[in-house]
Amino acid sequence: MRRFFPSALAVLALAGLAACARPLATGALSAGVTAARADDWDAAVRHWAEAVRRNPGSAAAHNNLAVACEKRGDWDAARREYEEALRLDPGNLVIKENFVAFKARLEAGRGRTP
Amino acid sequence: MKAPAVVILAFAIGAGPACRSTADQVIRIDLPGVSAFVAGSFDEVVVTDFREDLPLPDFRAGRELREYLAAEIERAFRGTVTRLDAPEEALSGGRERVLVLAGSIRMATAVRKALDMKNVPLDGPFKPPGRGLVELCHWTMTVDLSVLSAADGATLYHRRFEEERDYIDLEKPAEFAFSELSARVRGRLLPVLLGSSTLETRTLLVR
Repeated sequence: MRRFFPSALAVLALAGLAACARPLATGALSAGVTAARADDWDAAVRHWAEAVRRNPGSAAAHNNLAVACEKRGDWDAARREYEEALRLDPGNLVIKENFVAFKARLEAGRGRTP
Repeated sequence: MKAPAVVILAFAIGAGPACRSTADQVIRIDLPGVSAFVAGSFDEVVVTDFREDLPLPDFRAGRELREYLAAEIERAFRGTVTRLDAPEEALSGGRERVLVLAGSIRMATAVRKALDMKNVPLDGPFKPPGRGLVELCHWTMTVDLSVLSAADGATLYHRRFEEERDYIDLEKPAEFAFSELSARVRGRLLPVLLGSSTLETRTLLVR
């Protein structure tokens, strides 16, 4: 038993580190969601930007940033973020639904010019 | 405890938090309005008198519409709202970031007969059948509205609004019809001009 104890500890440490790697990014995502729910969109954007910095391939972070851009009325930036999110995760139905709703709203507002 | 068991236990403890279930968060957010014009692209709106295609004897509908729309825009717009008599005054300066509202208004009235189920006037000793023809005062308001760029006079937006309303009172004055019908025009114009915020549903992702 004592022979295996150091190796078991090493495995445990590795597993723990592996487990922590992803939550560092998801923690920022969650913190952003909490801030958004509290209507603190500036803080939400900071958290999600941090999530993108830690994991540039995070479609979720780009999706959330797109929603934040919508909230600010920055339609061009929202479109870019949605497109990036879908490029990273083309099959994500949630992102697709958000993007469809975004485009429909934009077209309804702007599509009545002559 | 044997080595494989320790490894499996360690893996389970470590992987547990990483695999924890986190649901997507559906939220309702109040999103700013989407205007037909690029947000922030103008900081002054000039509202001019509307030309009256069919002038009424005692009511200046074109001036009234100018005053009404200007007041409503002032309530919703952070920039400057200016009132002018004619669009040419606003267009002559070639000013940037200024929109000009101009156009024409036509208010017309006519007496129409319509089948009414309840409001038939009694005539004679017998119980009326409960329906019959009544005369109604029918008011129509047609507004041809254009939004012009003060910089070059280009038409950025054009729309014809047609609103109508029947009144039992045959003497219903133009002012009364105007206040009701112009409110409908306002309700359809301002969201286009300034955008109106709406409550929307979006889903935030947490992993």
